[in-house]
Amino acid sequence: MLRLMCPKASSMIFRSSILRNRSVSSPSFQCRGYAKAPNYKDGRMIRNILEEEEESSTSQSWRNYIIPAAIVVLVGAGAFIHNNDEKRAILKGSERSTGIGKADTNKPAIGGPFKLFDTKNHLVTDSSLQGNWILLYFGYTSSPDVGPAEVAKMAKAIDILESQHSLKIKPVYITVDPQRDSPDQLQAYLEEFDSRIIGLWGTSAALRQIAQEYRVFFKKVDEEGQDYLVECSQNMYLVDPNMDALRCFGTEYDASQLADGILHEVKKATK
Amino acid sequence: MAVMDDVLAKGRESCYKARDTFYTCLEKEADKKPTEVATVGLLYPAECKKSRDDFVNSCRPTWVKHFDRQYCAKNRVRRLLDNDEFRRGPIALPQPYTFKP
Repeated sequence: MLRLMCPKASSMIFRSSILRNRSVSSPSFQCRGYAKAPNYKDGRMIRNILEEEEESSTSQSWRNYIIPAAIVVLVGAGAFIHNNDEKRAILKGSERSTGIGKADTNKPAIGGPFKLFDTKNHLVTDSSLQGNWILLYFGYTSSPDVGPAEVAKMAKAIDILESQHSLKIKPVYITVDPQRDSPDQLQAYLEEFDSRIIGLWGTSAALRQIAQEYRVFFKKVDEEGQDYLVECSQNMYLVDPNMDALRCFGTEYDASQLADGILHEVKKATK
Repeated sequence: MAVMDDVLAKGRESCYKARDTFYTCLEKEADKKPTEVATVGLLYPAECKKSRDDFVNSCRPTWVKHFDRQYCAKNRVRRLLDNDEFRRGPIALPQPYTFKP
């Protein structure tokens, strides 16, 4: 019956004879093969096999070209990558590698030269502050709450560092409101917190320059007649004796955390 | 230029004190109907008028505005965190924008 249903009876006979020859040892498999496998499928399988044989004979000539071409491309790409790596590699002990090793990637890339005046109207530049550890803060004396709190924090942190760890840090306060913060005003304001804090002021161009160098944002807001507030980024910067900024501390640090942070940085740098 | 005394320690202290008196009054009289207008859309009941005047007199106008804004922001956050359904502030999620010609 199966043979009658099969469209290609001749091939079916051929195949079944093969099967029978192969699986003489297992007659049960043979039975299943006849009963369950749909015969058209067998036909297709044979067709596929036949086609593949034909294809393989034609693609043999293709392979002759593709394989050498692929090898050439792979070798070329490998040689190119290797060359490129060699060109970019930095040899141990060469000048460039030591330079990179010294530079700490974690520290902010900020800072630069400046020219400001202290409250006694003496010129203060970046070179005159060299040789000291400096804690830099940008603020203005008319700040309602954050400014005084930050300066108080700065004074306390410096006290902690000096009394407990005998570490001297020079606190520097730079005003971002030169219009209202005169030297006298700065002096009177900072004296109430700590007389060691150095107040710096300058022309608005000079202040804009240092603010830009330290990426400090400041903007006049809430103007009401002559009165206004200044919105500014409330960060403190720890600057090492070479005038490189090492780290900045935001308002989220309290005095003891700030002292700890500074101590950690100083220890790391002097090690 | 003369030194501005009102931002020095003494001026600050008196301002902070007046400010705290006013805001404690505001908390205490929270059940009263707020009728008077403060600076940044803040309303307060007439019972706190005296402490408000005191506050305004002892602080700079910009400072008063700053503290009022701060108080409003703090209140808003507190309302959002409130468990009480009735008192909780608006949960205004951004609505999807639909183009209407």
